[in-house]
Amino acid sequence: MQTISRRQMLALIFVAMLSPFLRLIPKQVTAFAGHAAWLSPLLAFPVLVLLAAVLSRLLKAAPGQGLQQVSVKILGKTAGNAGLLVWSVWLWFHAGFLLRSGADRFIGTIFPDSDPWIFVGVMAVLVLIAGLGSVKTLARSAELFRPLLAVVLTGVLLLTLPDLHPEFILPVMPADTWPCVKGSGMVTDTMCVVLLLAGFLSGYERSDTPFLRSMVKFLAVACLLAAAMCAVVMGVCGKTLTARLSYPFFSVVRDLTVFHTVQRFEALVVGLWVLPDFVLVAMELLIAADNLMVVFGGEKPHDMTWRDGNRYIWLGTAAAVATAVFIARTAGELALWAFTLVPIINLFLCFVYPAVLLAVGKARKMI
Amino acid sequence: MKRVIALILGCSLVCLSGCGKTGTVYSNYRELESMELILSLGFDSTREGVRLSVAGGAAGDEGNGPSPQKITRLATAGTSITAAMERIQDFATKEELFYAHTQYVLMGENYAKTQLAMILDYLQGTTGVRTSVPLFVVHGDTAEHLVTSCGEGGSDITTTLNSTILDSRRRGDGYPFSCSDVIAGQYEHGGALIMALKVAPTRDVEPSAQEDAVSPLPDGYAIVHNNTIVDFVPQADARGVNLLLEQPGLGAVTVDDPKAGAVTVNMTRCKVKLEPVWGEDGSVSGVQADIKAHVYLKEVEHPEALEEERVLKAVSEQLEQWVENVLQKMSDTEVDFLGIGMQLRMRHPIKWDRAPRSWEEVLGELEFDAQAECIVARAGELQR
Repeated sequence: MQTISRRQMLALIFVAMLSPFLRLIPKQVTAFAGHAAWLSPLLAFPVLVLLAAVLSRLLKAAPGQGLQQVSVKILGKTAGNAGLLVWSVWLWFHAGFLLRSGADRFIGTIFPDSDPWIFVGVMAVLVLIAGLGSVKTLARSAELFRPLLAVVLTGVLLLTLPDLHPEFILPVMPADTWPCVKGSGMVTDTMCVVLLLAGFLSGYERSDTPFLRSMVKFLAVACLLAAAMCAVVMGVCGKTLTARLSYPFFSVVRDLTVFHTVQRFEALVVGLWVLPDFVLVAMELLIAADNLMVVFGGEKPHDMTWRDGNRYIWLGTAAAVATAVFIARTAGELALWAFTLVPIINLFLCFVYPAVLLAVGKARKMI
Repeated sequence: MKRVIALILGCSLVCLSGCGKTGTVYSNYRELESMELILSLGFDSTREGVRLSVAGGAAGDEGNGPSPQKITRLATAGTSITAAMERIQDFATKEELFYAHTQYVLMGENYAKTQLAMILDYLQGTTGVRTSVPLFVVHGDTAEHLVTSCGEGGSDITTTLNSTILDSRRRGDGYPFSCSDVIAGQYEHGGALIMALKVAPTRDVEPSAQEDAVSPLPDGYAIVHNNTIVDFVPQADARGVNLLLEQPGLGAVTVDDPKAGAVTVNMTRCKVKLEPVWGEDGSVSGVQADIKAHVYLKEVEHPEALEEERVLKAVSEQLEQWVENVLQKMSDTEVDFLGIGMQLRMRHPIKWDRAPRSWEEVLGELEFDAQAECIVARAGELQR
């Protein structure tokens, strides 16, 4: 059995989180929360910690195993397998949506005259190869990607600070509380999915540190990063422009000039965001395959053929590509999925599923 | 299977060749030599739609060593910005006019008054040009006149504007607001400023210049509201804008002293603190501006007759005048082009939100009081 460390697990979920991060933050958060949107990530923190606490509690029901085994143990074989099937279908669909939205990001920021298919195709091949490999290899890749992405993100935010208008984000008044709460839904959506994925991957993990403690630290960093991102981008563009731009963060990067010597490096930054897409989609394919192996039985050998568990990776990639092709014909349809349907379904599954597991587990006195 | 995949991946490296015509995957690959870098764009209104003028310098001909820069100046009209860009491409000597590094966008006054929304929308939406590109309004003339007739030899409108902006910021009488400043300003506080330029014949200062050569000179600021120009801040008061932006530069302030004659001081720094003045009903009735400037003596006509206090008072009065004039312009036009209201609200949010009349409602009736205090930055220099 291949194993990963807690450090590798955190690297995986940090990099994976950055994929939906720039799609929803700060654009969608600002659309709900206005000029006080930078407080929304801080309001999302306790909700996310609650979810992490529930997951931690659930994982204790089957020590050393993932959420797949916990589901079957608590819900029973039939209901547990049904739940895992739903998750697998959703993860395949979500992976397809990510392939398409990643392509859309390239088109919207750098290649306005391109078709999405070349980007979808290349990414599908990459995640197929990653999915057919081991979780450990993917985790090691994430360990390499994490500092690179963190440095770029922090560097861009610091370089943008001189252009910040404090009056665009201050003052925050009591009347801003409810819009901030609404905006925190988008931040929660960005991060809850990686918490669930961490729960599913726990079966691969060997660590003595409590799950909850690691997740609280991770969430604190992630929420502060999201708050800083909202504050800086809104402080530069203002709330209305931030909500109107397709990719406000990349627009800010496009306008950056470093010490009057370097400019127009947004293509490099947008290109870097292939890495989070790659890690998240590969994780989703791997977890969907693991779920299906629990449902239908079988083992996942370490080669790249159709044998046993790997057939689910091939099937998942095909399903994801099909989703990417058929999910939307126009940018408007894709926006509907990106900003409305996917976040709603995602939030529903990420909160309702653990809540059901907890309730049933408590009722059956398994937790 | 792993070996097969490794072989496929190895072979695919051939496709990553940097040579554009040898099987690269980059469909938009272009050689630098085949691109014409456009550095300044001009927009004017015509009956057809928009008249686009461009200016840029080529990177030089092929070969070793430096070669003289070739300046490109083109102008054509189209029904839209994109149509004009496509048409102007037909006249280019290189494969592609490349707009990604555009440094300046100029608009004729008529165009800015009637079609500002069009250019802002275009710049906001395109990936080709940065939205941080500074905008300029050519006061009383066309952008094409400046873009196509400015500069001689190796210089053009871009190099001339580089110098104009640098000088203007150093003097503290100009600030190049960007496209995103204008968009965000209108969204957030209902107004914005665009630096205005006037066209001056180069021969006025350079007798050897060609007869039709022109140069851009700072000419205050255009006030933008609802995507149109509603008024101008005259050049005489432009220093007030820079003081309120806390971008005073190192500009000289010359005052006429009854005894010492013309006295010139330079500012090393300047801070302006704004405070609302509350009326009886709890609404804002005015704005108090406290200016604190650090100055040093530069030039005196009659040094023996110099009196420090009197000179500092005269300089203070001049600073107050500039700031009050700009604030009064804001009130007269009822356009908060500098976001003064947002800055004031940040200081007193609770009282501000409880005021019975909003900032927009009282803007046209405000009274202003500026009080300046000048401090001698370098001890002894005024005590000759």
